[in-house]
Formats: sequence, structure tokens, C-alpha cells
Amino acid sequence: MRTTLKEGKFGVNEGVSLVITGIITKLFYSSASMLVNSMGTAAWYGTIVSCLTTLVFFLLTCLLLKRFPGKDLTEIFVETFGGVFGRLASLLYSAFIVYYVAMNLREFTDIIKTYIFPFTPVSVILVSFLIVASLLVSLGLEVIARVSLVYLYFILGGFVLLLALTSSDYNPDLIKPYLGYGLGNTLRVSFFRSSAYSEVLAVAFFAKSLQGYQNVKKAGITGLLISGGLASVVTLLYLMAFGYVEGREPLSGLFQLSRIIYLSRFIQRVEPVFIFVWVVSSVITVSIAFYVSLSIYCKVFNISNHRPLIFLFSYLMLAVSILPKNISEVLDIHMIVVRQYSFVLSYGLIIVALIVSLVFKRKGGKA
Amino acid sequence: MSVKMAKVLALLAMAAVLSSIFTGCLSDALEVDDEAFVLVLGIDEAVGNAVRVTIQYPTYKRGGSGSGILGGGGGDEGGGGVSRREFGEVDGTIVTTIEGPTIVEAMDFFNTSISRRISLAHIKLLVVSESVAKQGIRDYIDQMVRFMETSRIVQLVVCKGKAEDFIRENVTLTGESPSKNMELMILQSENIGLFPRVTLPQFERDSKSPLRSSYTAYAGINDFQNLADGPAASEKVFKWRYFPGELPRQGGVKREFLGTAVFRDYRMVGVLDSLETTFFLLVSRKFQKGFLSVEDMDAPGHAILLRLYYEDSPKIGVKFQGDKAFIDLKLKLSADIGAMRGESNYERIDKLEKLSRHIESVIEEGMKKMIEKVQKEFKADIFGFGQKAAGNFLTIQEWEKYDWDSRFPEAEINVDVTVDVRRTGLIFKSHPLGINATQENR
Repeated sequence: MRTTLKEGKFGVNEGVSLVITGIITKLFYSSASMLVNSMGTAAWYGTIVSCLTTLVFFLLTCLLLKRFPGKDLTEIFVETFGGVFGRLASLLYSAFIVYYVAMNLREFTDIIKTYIFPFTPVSVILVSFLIVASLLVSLGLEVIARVSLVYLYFILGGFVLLLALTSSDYNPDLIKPYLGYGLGNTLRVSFFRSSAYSEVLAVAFFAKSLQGYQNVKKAGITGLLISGGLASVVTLLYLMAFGYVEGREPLSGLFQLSRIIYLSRFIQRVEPVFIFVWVVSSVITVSIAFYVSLSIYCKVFNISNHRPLIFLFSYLMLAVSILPKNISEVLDIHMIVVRQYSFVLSYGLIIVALIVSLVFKRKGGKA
Repeated sequence: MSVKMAKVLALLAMAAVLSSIFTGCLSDALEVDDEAFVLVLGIDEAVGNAVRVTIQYPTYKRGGSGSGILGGGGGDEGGGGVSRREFGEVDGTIVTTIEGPTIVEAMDFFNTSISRRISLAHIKLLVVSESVAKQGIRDYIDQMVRFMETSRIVQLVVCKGKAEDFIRENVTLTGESPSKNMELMILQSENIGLFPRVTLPQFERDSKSPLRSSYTAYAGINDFQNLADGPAASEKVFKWRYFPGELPRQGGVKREFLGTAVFRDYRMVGVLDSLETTFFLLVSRKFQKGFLSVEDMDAPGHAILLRLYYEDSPKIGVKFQGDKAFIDLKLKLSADIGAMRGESNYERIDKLEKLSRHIESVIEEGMKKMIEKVQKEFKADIFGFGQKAAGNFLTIQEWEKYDWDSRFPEAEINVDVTVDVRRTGLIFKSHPLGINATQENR
């Protein structure tokens, strides 16, 4: 399979920033509340278990990449499953990522509408957001990667500032009882919640741009570990601020946290500062996923220019995002699928490809 | 013009156009000047609807604070010779009351007569009448926290009597800004330690938590009738315990914050007086500044004024024997003498030690009584002992099965207070009266 799409090149740092931004943005949404809801006081270390589970899956992905040096996942699927099935497998990823983008978009829109623009039509928020994301996608992967690296410091700074300004509300006793709903529950939920870290696969799809298997491995592992550590700290502090009962309620736990900042009579009501961080981080995350989906599609059908497809993909994402009837459907069904069960698809196909390549001794490519 | 330059100019033009039309576009556009920001919201029992809501918002008039009940500015007369008081004007603010099915709908009802849109975005104080608090305030709290517009740093207060009356007495006598006045009043909690400062999110978190119970500030109106006239008492009487409205004072603002309202499951179950509140804040690590005086053990009828500090954070340990909880509370305080009778001469090392033990026993005794009242009478763990007790359970299921709320009243609580007087104020050697006193005291 020959791909004609030119995606440019970037280094490990950009790769790491793609992974981190993709993973941690969800903390601004309902992710922290959902973690607390399913694992209680164990949520803060449960997410580390999820991260480590993903790390194992990612190492298996690296093993597969190692057998096909110089190739990305789309090409490896064709090599292992054959032309038709390989392309179908890649298309399955592309379709899932369209769904992933659409649901993230919808969650973002509903939260924005709930907290900030209650009377602005959903379509206006969705379309404005997609226009910006499309603009980034049209500029290509290299630009997205470099933009994500530039803004990563800004996003991480936002997290640190938010958590520091709310430190007077932390109560370490609120993380008791330490085992949450039990060790068994924590391990089970964390295993499934490994889907919440599957954004790391983006670097496997861009193995060529990352210039080799070693860089993919380095970027993925570093990104995963930093994201896992950050997610754990954020969830721990979130639990210390809200406790396990109230902590499972907010639509956006971190935004709720930003609304209680009161340093003095002169420093209060500073939540708009964090909306900025939240929106920038969301735009980059959606752009990354949007581009992955588009890139896979182009590679499958050997399309050399992705730009003409941007509008069609945007339209598709917009259409899917307005399918859920209400916020409960988004959070209780679609977000559970995306953040809890999608690993079956994300890693399932990769593991099958690895097994096939091992059994049938398929390997290839240039180092 | 090069193509590159044209592109840059086109982008700049697009950014300029978009930034002007996308700023507060559509229905969410809000002009600050079109809004009336509520400073205080009161909740009372309704007669003809579900809830009676009183709001206080600024008049937004130049020099508004001088045109209210204290006169000045526009005088006391409104249009047509009607007193401004009848319009609800209270010292630069308007106080108005309405009944509605819900708090938020009541805001819309207000908007039928107020030209500016009523907004809760900068509300400072939520006042709930005692009778409503005793019936339970979950519905009201839920309405406030679920409504996106409500500020999350609003303080909750329970007032004796009607919230409406309380808010009508919420005048600004010092300074010009009612908003600043309200905020500073709330912050007084940190200066005096006689009432707690509790925000709505804190109250909500504690109310929902299976680890503790909630509490908030208690307030009321002082009708200035407590300052008795007549001959002075032959012996000095020291009194530290007051509830709102009971302070013997005259003049100033009639509303006062004093004491703590204790809640269990969103229902008010009791109140702590001023002294009990100081002890409660000390136990809860919420005491920031404040004075406490004790009667001089060598000279009854004289007081020793102390400024208290934490020497160390309160240490709470909880152990279980069977199903019974044993709570150990260790409080290490230090104190500075603020004032005392010169003759007592407590600066001497041996007497300082004696004074420390005396203060210790006074605080320990008061604290034990306060804890017993809250534990046995109110059956509410406002101290957060449950947060420590939960550490003895591995899982949430085990903890919730134990049911701390029902077991807390049976827990055994040991209080151990240590006080060390560290400084003696600006004087380190008192000079007792008498010809030979200087020599004796060297």
C-alpha cells in the first residue's frame, strides 16, 4: 500500500504534546465526575491503573510497529489483513474517530451551553467550533502538532493555576475510605476506563511523521505517563475539594472548582480565565482526532490531498453530534462507550493484527 | 500588493469582523448596565405560594447611599410625596419581596416591575429564616446551586425571625458601597471568631456528605432594647454567651451575626451561642483571629483578656472498639495576654504557668460542654470527626453500612486542651500599687 498524503514531520516533543492534550482535555468535562461516580474515593489511583493498562496495550502496538519499520498502522493493517480487510479495519477506526469527535463536540457544546451560553443555539456553538478545528486540520498535521506543543504549556499552566487557587478548599480526609467501592471494582472499572487513554494511538497512526518506531514509543510512553500522573493529581485534588458524594454530581467538575475561587475581595470570580484554557485545549483535541480520522480515510483510498474532504467530514461530525437527544444520553451512553468500552476496538484490532503477523510471520518495511 | 500580504490583510479583516459580531452575539448578550445585581436574597415561608423571596439590590444612583433612610441626597421623599421607605429603599439599595413557585421564577416576577433584569451572578448573601431552616432547605439550596447564574461564593446565613425583616435592616452606614459593606461583614468572621463563614458549596458538600454534618452562620436583628437602664450592679458580671439580637448595644446597624446554626440532613436542629461558636471554630480549625477573656482566678471580678492562636492543628484520632467509636481530640493553643489587672502580676514565670493551666481548664470545660450539646442534643457531627473515622473502614460500602450519623451520638469523645501563654502584651513587668510594691516585685 502506497500512501501519497504528505503529512510533514515532527519530533518527539510534539508527539508527547499531542498525546497529553488529547488525554487530559476530558478532565475539563465530565470525566472527573464520572471517575468518582464509578470508583468513589479510589478514583485518583484507579486512573493510574487505567493508564498502566493502556501502557501495556501501547507496548503491544509498538511491538507491531517494530515488525513493520517505517510503516504506520494503516499500512500495517493492509500488510497483515490483506488489502480489503486491512482497509476495512482502518475504515472502522476512521468511523469510530468520527463518532469520538462528534461526541466530544456534543459534550463540549452542552457544557458550554449549560455554564456560559444558555440561550445560544447549539448549532452556532457546534459550527463555530468546527470551523476553527477545520481550519487547523486544513493546515495539516505538522501545524496541529506544533500548535499543540505551544499551547501545552498554556494548558498545563491553567491546570496548575486552577488547582493552586482552590487549594484552600482541599480536605485530605475526603479521600477516605481509601479503597473506594472495593479493590475489585476499582480494578475492573480502571481496566475498562483504559479507553480514556486511547488517544495515545494517534502517534501510532503518525509513525511516519514521527520518523520511526523509537520516536513513536518514546512519545507514547512519555505522553501516557505524564497524562496519567496529571489525571491522578487532578482527580485527587478534585476529590479533596468535593468528596465522593458531591464529586460525582457536577457536569464539569473543574469548571465548578474554578467558580469557588475566592482569594480576596479583589481576586474572585476568575472562572472566565479558565474557559479560555478549556476552549483552546478542546479545539486542539478535536483537531487531532479530526485529522486522524481524515488521514486514515485518505490513506485507505490513496487520496493525496485531504483538504477537499474537510467540509464533508465536518458535516458528518456535525450530523452525528446532534443525534443524542439530551445531555443524559451523551453522558450515560455515548461517553461510556467512548471512555469505557472503546478499547475493545482501539486495541482489539491491533492485538489481532499482532497475532496474525506473528502466526503468519508477516513483517516488512524499511527501518 | 503581494498575495501573502493580501492574505494577511484578509485574515485581519476577518478577525476584526468576527470579533465584533461574535462578542456576546445572539441571545446571550448581556449589558452590565441593563442588569440589577442582587446582593442579598432572603427566603421566608410563603402564604399564597411556595416561597417568599426578598431581594436587596443597589439603586445605582450617584450618591445612592446618602439618599435612603438617613436622608441627604434626594431626601426622604419620593415622587408624589411618598416616603422612599415605602418604595423599599434602604440606604442606597432597594429591598423588595415577592412570592413565587420557585426562587428563579420569583426573579422573573420581580422583573415585571423592575426595569433592569434581576441577576444572581454577584449575590453575596443568602438569608434563610429560622422557621424555613427548621423545615429543611434542600429544595432551596438545590435551586440555587443548579441555576447556572448563581454565584458560587455566596454566603449562607440563618436568621432569627423573618429574612425579609433582616434584609430591611441591612443598611450601609459605613462607606458608600453596599456590596463592599456586605462582603466585609461576612469577612468579620475571620476577625472575631463569633460566627462561621460558610459558602453555599461548602454547606452543600457537608450536607450531602456521609462523613459530617453541616452548619452555617446565625444572625438576627437587635432592637436595641437590651441595654438596660438603672443603677449599676454592685458586682461585676461577666457574660460571654449571646445569641443574635441579645447583645446589649445601642446605635449602629440593627442586624448582627452571632453564633452558629447547626444542621442535620438540611434541617436546622439547633444553635450555638457566641462562646460555643468560638470553641466550635477552634475545634474545626476555622478560628483565625479573636479574643477570649477568662475571669482572674486570683482576683474574681477582674478579667484577663487573651488573644488565642493555634500552636498546632487540632489532632483528631478515632478508634473503634466493637461498634463504638472513641474520639480523641487534642488541641494545642498559645495565648498572648491582651489586658489584665496589674496587681495580678501574671508575667512571673510561676504565675504564667498557673495562668496557662487556668485558661486550659476554662477552654477545655467549655469545649466539652459544647461538644456534648452538639453530640447528644443535636446529634450532628459538625466537627468532621466522621472524616477521621472513615479512615478505619476500607470501603465506602462498609462505611455507609456503619451509618456514622446514627452512631455518632454514642461515641466517646475525649478532649485534651493545652494552652501556653507565650507573650504578655506590651508590658512584661506589672507595677502593683503600694509604697513597697516595687521592691517586693523585683
